Amino acid sequence: MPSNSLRFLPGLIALSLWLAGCAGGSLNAASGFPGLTSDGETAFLAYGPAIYAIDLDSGALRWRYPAEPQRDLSFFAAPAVGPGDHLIVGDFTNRLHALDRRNGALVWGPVALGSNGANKEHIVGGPVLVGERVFVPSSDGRLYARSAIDGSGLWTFPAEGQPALRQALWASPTIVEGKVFVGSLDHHLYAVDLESGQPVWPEGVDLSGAVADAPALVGDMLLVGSFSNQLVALMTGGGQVAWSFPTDGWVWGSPSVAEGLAYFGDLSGTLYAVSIEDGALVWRLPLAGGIAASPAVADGQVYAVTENGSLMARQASNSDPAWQANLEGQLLTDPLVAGDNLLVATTGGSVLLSAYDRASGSVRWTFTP
Amino acid sequence: MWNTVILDPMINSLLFIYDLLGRQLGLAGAFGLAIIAFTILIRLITLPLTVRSQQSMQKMQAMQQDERFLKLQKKYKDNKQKLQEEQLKLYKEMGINPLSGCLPQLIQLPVIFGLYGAIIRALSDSPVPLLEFSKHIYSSISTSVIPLDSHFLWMDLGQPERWRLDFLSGLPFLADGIPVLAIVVVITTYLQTKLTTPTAPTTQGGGMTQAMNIYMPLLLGYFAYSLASGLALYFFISNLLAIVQAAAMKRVDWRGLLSRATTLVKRPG
Repeated sequence: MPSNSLRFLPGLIALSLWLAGCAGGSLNAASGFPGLTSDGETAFLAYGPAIYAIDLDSGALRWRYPAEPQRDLSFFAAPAVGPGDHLIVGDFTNRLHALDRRNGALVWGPVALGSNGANKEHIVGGPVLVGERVFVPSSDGRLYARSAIDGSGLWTFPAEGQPALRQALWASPTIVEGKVFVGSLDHHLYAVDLESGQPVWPEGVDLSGAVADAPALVGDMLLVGSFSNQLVALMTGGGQVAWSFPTDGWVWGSPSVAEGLAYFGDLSGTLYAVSIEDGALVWRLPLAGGIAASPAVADGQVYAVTENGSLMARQASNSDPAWQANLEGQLLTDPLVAGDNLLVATTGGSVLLSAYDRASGSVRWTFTP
Repeated sequence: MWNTVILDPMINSLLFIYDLLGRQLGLAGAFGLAIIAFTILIRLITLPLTVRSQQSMQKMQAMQQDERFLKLQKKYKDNKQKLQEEQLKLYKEMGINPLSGCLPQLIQLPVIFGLYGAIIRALSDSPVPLLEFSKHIYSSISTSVIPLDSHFLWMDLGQPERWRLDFLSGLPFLADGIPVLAIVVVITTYLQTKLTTPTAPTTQGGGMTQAMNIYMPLLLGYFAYSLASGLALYFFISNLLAIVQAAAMKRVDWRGLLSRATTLVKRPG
């Protein structure tokens, strides 16, 4: 080996380490939004290495699962409460766990949902319970129906032996009148029979853009946001489009509905209120940051969060300001109304969960793991 | 700055080509084809630089036979610092850039880094990376291309490539499959550097060129082995194009492939 060549070896090694290091950083970045749910007494937060059970009155940690972080085990999907004292959680390696929600003890699982061999198997959307059955969307392109009692398989959509959907399912399903409606990143909304898992619509309804969150049910209509810069109202019967509303950016979160209006935001940072009758605009409010989360609506107020850390309460009828707070970190999770509290999960801040007084906007407690 | 100048144009070029090939022309494996088309584009953009550096390398090769160069070698054989100073003067006089030999390879590095960032972001498979990716997309790009289909031939372009063979699954070091593309990248990078780089003189610039010729196949092979296979596809196509380009310019040194390796082994010091 020429001696001159050796002089450049350390430089090349440093360069390669720098490149590999930076690239590796991209690969290992935080993957999902925190998943948040509540049973009225306890908040359950799925984020990174654990599920945290947090007392709603005090913000104190009741338990965490697992007690110690485990390699390759992480959680982002909002847990499902029930049946009985169960808490059903999906992890980021496509497995289901059933916990005793009083103490975090494992009741059954983890149960693997499937394997497509492509390292893309995650549970991103929260499981949904109907009686003793749980319906779980997976990034492997399938919707799984399982027994909530023991995790045993009931059916999958598409059925086993058939190819999975071309893209992932990140959205929780919406279930009504014997049908399971689920949106996919493959741009389609699918309707599946609750009992058999067979498709009710021969093919999904093409929305021209990815669907990342659950459809909102209003009477016999489903309101679905998509990355095609629109909110679409579909009839639950046959999937016909009732109306569509164009937006300035991707609609990531679900709309929230109250008093005949649907409230939702887009990634361009605009909060909208539209009539559910015909999709007519009632008001729009440009904000400083993108909106990925679904707003919450209660008692005449709409609560919205932006990616850049703003939390705001507005009058639902006309968008007049009620109160506002700025948090450290990104706000990507749907704010959750729990009694008089508004729960807000943070990504990348020092605090993981905050409880605000819904009327005044004052902080009641914060939770840091 | 990095995003504006390198990353965002790369991401949006890839998306534009992907949209054209996949949605409008209906071709399967559109992201792989987009990477190939993008590689051709990069080669065309850097063509003037490649031509100039190859001309410069030819001059350096000729200079080794120049009487003044040989006299300097003899005169300052015991004073390396002075020898370098005098050689640099001579380069200047003859209009030669001694670093030009490795310049086309060095120029690849920001492209590699940018392209890797673009591929990883474009093939985001979880919410936070996809949300970040959305901020890089120009408003002129159709949102209907999101999310991208990462499959091309047997590869998932967002993952390191392995060719899985059932009968090899019992072997511990090949259980994940054979890294075909990484092997091909090492071979084609070696061939490309050997076939297209003239014999380097015994100078600092020449030493660096030689170093790049030796380490670059290993470095790119390591990246191809461990990073997203979309990047390995870029390396492979880029190497093929470099060889074709040099052949078209009649600058491929087929004989040097073996003889120069022998020279390197025999050379003292």
